[in-house]
Order: sequence, then C-alpha cells, then structure tokens
Amino acid sequence: MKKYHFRPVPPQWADRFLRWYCASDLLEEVQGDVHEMFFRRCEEDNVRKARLYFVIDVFRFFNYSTIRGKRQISFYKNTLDMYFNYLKIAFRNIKRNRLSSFINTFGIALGIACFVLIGLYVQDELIYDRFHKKADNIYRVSVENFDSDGTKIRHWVAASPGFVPLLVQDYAAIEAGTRVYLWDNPTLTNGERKIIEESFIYAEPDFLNIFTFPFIEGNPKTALNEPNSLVLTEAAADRYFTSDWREKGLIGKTLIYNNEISMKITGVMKNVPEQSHLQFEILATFSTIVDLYGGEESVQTTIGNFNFPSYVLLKEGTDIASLNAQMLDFGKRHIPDRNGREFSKIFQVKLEPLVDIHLNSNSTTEYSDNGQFQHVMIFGLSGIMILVIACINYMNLATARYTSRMKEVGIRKVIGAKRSQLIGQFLMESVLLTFIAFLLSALLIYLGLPEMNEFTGKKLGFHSIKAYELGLGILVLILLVGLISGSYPAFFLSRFIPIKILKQGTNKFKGSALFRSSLVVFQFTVSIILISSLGVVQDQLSFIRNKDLGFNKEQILRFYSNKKMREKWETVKNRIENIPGVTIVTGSSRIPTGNLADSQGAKFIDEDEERVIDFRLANVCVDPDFFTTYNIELLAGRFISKEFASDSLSSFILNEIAIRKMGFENVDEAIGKPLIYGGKRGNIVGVVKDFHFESLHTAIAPIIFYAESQRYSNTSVKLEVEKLGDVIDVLTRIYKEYEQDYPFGYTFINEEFDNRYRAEMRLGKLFKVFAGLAILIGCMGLLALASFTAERRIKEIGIRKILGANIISILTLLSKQFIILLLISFIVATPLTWYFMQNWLKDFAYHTHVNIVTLLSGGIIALIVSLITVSWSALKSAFSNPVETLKSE
Amino acid sequence: MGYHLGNLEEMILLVVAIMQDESYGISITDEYNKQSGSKISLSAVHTVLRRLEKKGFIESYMGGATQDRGGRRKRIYKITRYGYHTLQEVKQKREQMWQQVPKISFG
Repeated sequence: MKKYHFRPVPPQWADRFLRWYCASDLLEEVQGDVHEMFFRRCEEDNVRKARLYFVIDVFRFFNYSTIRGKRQISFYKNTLDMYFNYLKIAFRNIKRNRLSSFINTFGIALGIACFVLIGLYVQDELIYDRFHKKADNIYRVSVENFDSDGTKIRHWVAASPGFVPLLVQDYAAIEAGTRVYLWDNPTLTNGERKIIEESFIYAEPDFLNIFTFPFIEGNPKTALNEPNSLVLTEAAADRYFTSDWREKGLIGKTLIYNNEISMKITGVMKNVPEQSHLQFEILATFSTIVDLYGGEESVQTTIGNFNFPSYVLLKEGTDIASLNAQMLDFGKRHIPDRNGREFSKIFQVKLEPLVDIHLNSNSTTEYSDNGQFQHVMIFGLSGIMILVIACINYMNLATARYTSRMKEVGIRKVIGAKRSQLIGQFLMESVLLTFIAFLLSALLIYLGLPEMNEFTGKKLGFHSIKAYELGLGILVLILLVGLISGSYPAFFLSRFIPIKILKQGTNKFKGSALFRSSLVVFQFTVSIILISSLGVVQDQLSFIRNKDLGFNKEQILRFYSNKKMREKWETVKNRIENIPGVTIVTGSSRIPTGNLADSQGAKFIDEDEERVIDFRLANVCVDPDFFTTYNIELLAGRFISKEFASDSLSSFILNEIAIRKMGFENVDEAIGKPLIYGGKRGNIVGVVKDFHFESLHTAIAPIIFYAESQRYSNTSVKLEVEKLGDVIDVLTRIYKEYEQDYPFGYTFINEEFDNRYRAEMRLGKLFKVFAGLAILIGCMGLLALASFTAERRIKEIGIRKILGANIISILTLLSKQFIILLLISFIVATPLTWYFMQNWLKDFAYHTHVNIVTLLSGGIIALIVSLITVSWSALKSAFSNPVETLKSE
Repeated sequence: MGYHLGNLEEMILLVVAIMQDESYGISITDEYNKQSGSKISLSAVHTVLRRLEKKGFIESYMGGATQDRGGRRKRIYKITRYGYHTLQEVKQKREQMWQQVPKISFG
C-alpha cells in the first residue's frame, strides 16, 4: 500500500470472467482470495507481474468444482419426484383447458402430418438418380439450339448419334460414354409368349459401367459386349419365364427379337428404381439398333437427329465449367455446313449433370416425366410453414394464459425452484403435448398417405427408411417441435418475479402482448399468401383453358397410324370419313398441343436473289383437311387443296410469325414466293394466323406446313360426341386390318392439352389443401385466443352492459385488436404474394397478370373467416348475463 | 474405515488443525508451503478444502473482511471433532505400522 500513490487494479476482464463462471455461493471467498493475492504480489513484486498472476489464478480456479450450473441440480435428491409432479401438473392443465389443449394437439398433429407427408415427397424428388455410385461424375450430352440472332430457342436433351464417339476421342477428361436409343417398341417371343415391349432401350457396353444397376445374374461389365445381347429386369423376366427362373437361371437363354433375330440373355438386373429419370425394363445392345437405323454411317451423323440420349462419365475431379468452355469449338470441328447453313453456329454441345436432370432440366424435349425444382421448393416451404403456424398456436395460447400459471410459478420460486427448473418444466409440458399430437398425426399420416400417393403418382412410404432412422427421425421431430413451441412460453413464464405476482396478483406484461401480436401477424401473413397465391394459380389455369389458342381442340380424337396405313393414306382416310358420326379426317406428322421437333434448312428466293432463312423453321406435314379439322384461320392466299395437283409436291403454307421473320411487312406479299425447304422446291401458297401449336410455356415458333402423306403418323378424327362409341368400334375394326401387333389406342386432343399443364394443376390442388389447412389451424388458434380474451374481460363486459353498452359496441371492442392484426398481415402479405407470383408466371410465355382483385381476395377471405371466428366467441360473452358474471368476486 | 483421506487432504487437514484462527484459503496455502517446503496453487487448496468440508472433516463460516479483499469476506475453516479423530486414527495406524518395521541398517 505504501509503495504506490494509487491503488493498483487487477485486469477487469479476468475479474469479469471469474464473476461469470464462478458459482454464486463460492464467488465471494474465491474472488476475495484472488484479490488478496493480487495486492500482496503488488507489494512484494511489481504490478505487472501481479496482474499476470491474477489472470493465471483466475484460470486455475476455472474448474469443475467452481463453475456455476451443475451443483444446483446435483444437490437435490428429490429430482425424480419433481419430474412426476411436473407430469401431474401438465396433465391437469391439459384437462382443465380442454379447448386450447384440443386446438394445440390437433393443430400440431395436422402440422406434423403435413410436414411428414410433404417431407416424404420432397425427399423422393431430391434423390433422383443419386443411387448410381458415380452419379456426381455422370453428365448428359445436351445441345443448345440458337437462333441466328443468338437467342436460345430449344434445348435438346438428346444428342446427335455421332457426338459421343467424338467427345470421348477429343477430351481426355471424358472417361467413357454411351448412346441410348429409347424410341423403339420391338416384339419379343419366347415360345408361346409374344409381347410388344413398351419399355425397351438400346445402349452401348459402357452403359453398365457408367450407371450402377445391381445385377441378380450375370456380369454388368461384360453383359453388353457381344452383339445381340439382352439384359432383362425382374419385371421383364417374369413376363417371359415361369416363376422358377430365379432358381434355374436365365443366362444363355434366348428370346426372338422382331420375329427374326435370336437374342441371348446375358444378365438379369433388379428393376430400375422409381427414382431414375431413365426408365426401362429391357436393355439391348446398341449394335442391334444400328442396323435398323440405317447402318454404321447413319449413327455417325453430327447434324440434327437429336434422338440419342447420351451420357458420359468424367474423370474424378474434372472441372465441368472449364470442360464446357473447351467444348465451345466442338461444333466448329465436327458439325459440317449443309444447304448453306452453318450448323456449328446454331448448335452448342453442353454437358449437364445427371443429378440435375429430374428437377432442373425443364426442357420441353425431355423424354422422362420430370419434376420442377420450383414446385418442390414451394411444397417444402408450405409444409414447414404449416408446422410453424401450429407451433405458434401453442406459443400464443400458452403465453396468453400466463395469469393462470402465475401463482404456480410464484409459489414454486418461493419454495426454491430455479429458473432453469421452471424452464425445464414448461418445456416438458410442450414436449408431452407434442408427443400426444404425434400419436394423432401418425393416424393422419396413415390415412393421408394413399391420397398423397394418388395425387403425386409416386409410391411414397416408410418402407425404404431404416427402423432406427425412423425412430431417430420421430424423436428429433417431437423434440424439435416441442422445444420450439415451448421455448417462448417457458422463457416468458419463468421470468416472473415472485414477490410481484404474489403481492399484486396480476400485473400486465406489455412485451409479451407485442410478441404475441407479431406471431398472429406472421400466421395470417402466411395464410393470406397461400390463399392469394392459390387465386393466382387458378387465374392462370383458367387463362390457359380459356385462351384463344387459334385452333379448335374439342371433339377431336387422335391415334397413331403405322407405315401400312400411311402407304394407303387416301383409302384409309376415305374409309374413316364414311363412318357415320365422323365429320372430317386429317393426317399430320405432329399434332397441336404437342412439340415441334423437326426442322430442315430453308432458302427463299426474293427478286431472283436466294436468301438463306437464318431462323429455325419447324415443319409439320399435313393433309389438306388439317386446317379445316382444327379450324385454323387463313390470313392470305389459300389452303393446300386436292384440286391443285401440284400441291402435293410443291406448295407451302407458313404461319404469320414465319412470314414476319422473313422480313415481309404484309402477309399478302409472301404469296407466290418461291421457297426451298430441305431440298424441296415450291411456292408459298398461303399464310395462316399464328396459333399455339405448343403449350403456353413456349412462345409461338415459325412453322412451315406441306403435304407428305408418308409422314402422317397421327390421324385426327373430328366426330360427333353422341356417336363416339360406334365410331370407335368401326375405327378399331379398320385399324385391325392394318395393324395386328398393337391394340387400337386413342386419345382426345383436349386431354392431350390438359396433360401439358398437369404440373400446374397439381400445384393448384396442393395450394387448395395447404391454404385450407393453414387458415384452419390459424383460425383455431385465433378462436382459442379470442375466447380467452373474452373470458378474461367478462367482468368488464358485464359492467359495460349494465352501463348501457349494446351488443355491437361490445363486439367491436372484442374484435378490434384482431382486425388490426389482420390488416397488418394483409399489408405485409400482398406485396410478397405479388412478387412470388410474378416470378412464377414468368415460366409461361403467355400468362395472365396478377389481378388486383385476386390479390385482395386472399386477404378478404382471411378477414371474413377470422371475423366469424372471433365474433363467435365474442358473441358468447356479449350475450352473457351481467348478473351471472358479476355476482361472485 | 468409513472415510477416505488422500495424502494431500491429510496434509491440508493437518495445516487446518495447526492453525488456530484465520485459517482461510490464502493463509492455509502459505502455511502449507511453509511446512512442507513445496509450492501449491491457491485453487488446488480451495478444491481440497471444499472436498474436506463435504466429507465432514472441517467446517466453515464466513467472516473477516479486509480492504485488500475489496471488502469481501473470507471463509474461515475449523477442524471438526470427526476430522480430528480421523487424523488421530491415521496417525495411530502409521505408528502401528512403524513399530512393525524391523531395524534395518543400510550399510
């Protein structure tokens, strides 16, 4: 003390640290000793050293025996009894507040059921194609197709047959590659059993090295090495062999292919998992299709012919971005010019990851039934939101009812409960309730799963999940939901200061009311977003249905015509036209509502100058009656007609956009202009008004129509609906005469049309369910909250009534706060919905606009439903007899 | 024997028994260092003291604040009857054992 003019101070941070960790009952003596040592060292040594040793001492004291927290629990020996007491109190509370307990349990059960069902769906969507061992290194060869001005017009997901061998040869990073051919339905025969195979693919030997398909029999490494080999899946094997094939083995057995070639079975594999974008039941050697396709030369072409899905395996650790950059000049080296068009400029080869195909491809040329990442996100988010809304119900009700628990908390604290124990108690209550809700949700899931499977067309279930994973998942879910919904109530209820509550009775907690209000706002914001989005989705669906497509899709039946029928087209057409009930018949290479896939190079001659058409001009071969059948409007010139003999050879009809792109201001100017299309020379005889040949997702593309009966693989029959049955009977008979192998199958154009929007319709339906559930759970919470408020103010209402308040003013009094909250939610939700839906609508080339009425209707519906809910409970108290409510205090 | 007394515990207990008054964390540490000739840290002594108290060998009360401690009280320890008997027992056991050791000469 004498050495210094001022009093030295130990390092404050270390002192603070000591105060923080040290148990409160030890702090005084420990801190005292450390300080005393510090001052002693100051006198004996110097201040700097003393400060250093002070820090060392503080850290030395930081050990198990001094830190706070643990000793409070370990000191009590009646812990177990306390837990039983908690359970007892929890059950009593559940029993005493039937309404809020029911709402909480049911809400959380619904939330969990929704969450689990959607979770199954989302998980199923996300694991597509990931079962392949090398999935991350497998890529699909795709071709981006550009217009002359650089805009991307098509993304072909299959490649020209010549690409894969060249890619493997050119790039060291590509380890192996395989072409696949999917579009063949050959007949296979085993003795008596003769079946047309619908799911038959051809692939090169490396196919089984790139992909992982588990074999039951045979060696995947060599199964496709020999020409004319077959690999069957279990499902296919069951079709051709008696059920004991598993014991006897199938290797070496043969099946007759298309009545001529004998093909040897070299392997049997497990069925292709549902979660594979590539589905097949029988796998054959690629060389078999080469001969059918037109020989080795035709599978080396590098222009067009995007009929071969191609996959490559990259070396481990390849940088895909730089590899794609290296491929920019692939076209220049390998795609030759033809008919004066530089194909290398409009086709760009690009590799896309296998695992992205299912959700992120979104190409219109996709050959598998794909999902959409955006939709999976929307589903997943909605599932989480519904669960959150249910959790919020619990939080709200538990905190709103704080007055009834306040005395209990006060007494417990006075007796010696620590805050951590109270938090534990309340969390236990919420976890217990969640557990009961879970049991109920298990029932809901059991009931809902078949519906969900029908709805999504999947085989969702728990069979693929291991038991311990399921158990762990359930445990985590219950704990998570229980702890989240219990967190705020526990924190809030355990905060009360006993002296205040026990002395003054009730006191107001302003902060909690604000927090509760924001929770209600959040709930209703989510509900309103869901309802308004549902409105926009429905708007777009009805926009699609009612949009003038530019052609008639009603009452038209379509079936495939084979080669024999096409050869005798006029006869076939005549015979069908003569069926009573048939109005008109036409043939075409493609049908409206389908895709435009074929195109050829074109030139047109304008004032003796030959000009190359530098945009993609898709072709459709049509019978003269095509335009009448589909009611397509003519803008200039004439339709193709039988009366002009030359028409079958050299007359072209173009759509309006094609004419505009060729540079004509007026469609009439184009009539009579000579045109060369894919080597065919002719004149433009007519211009038709633009119509939606493809779905509304894509913009109208330039099209050229001409007659070529060899390509009329679709026959469209317009008929009177009343005679549908008879027409189909006769059609079937005629069909049988030309085609013996396939049964007669037909579809209706308007069904085909609807099929194009299945994903959107599914989204619409799902939104209906979600919006309904969200508002149901939200309103249940609101009901409980409102009736609780009304109950608490029952005396106030009694006095008001005595003083002359009428029912309306009491109703206003009780609903005012909820209406304000709803209005806030509405203000928050509307711009959000507008933003989300604007983005969603961008997927459609033709779409409706976000309608202000639709946008507002979500809020109005939510407002009405919740007003009814709130008034229901408010009315009850408004009608209560003041004598009853005021007589006892 | 219904107790367990570790070597360091025994030493500290002896120190507490030796010291008549003002036996708190720092003074006990000082005394131990003086008696044994070795150095021990303050926190270790605290830990041992708490253990001894839990076992019932010593008892404590709060008392004596000084300015050096920033007005904080000290925890003063005193040996209990049980502690004293235990020490004696240990001592007797040792002496019994010493008596059995034969005279050994280390030539």
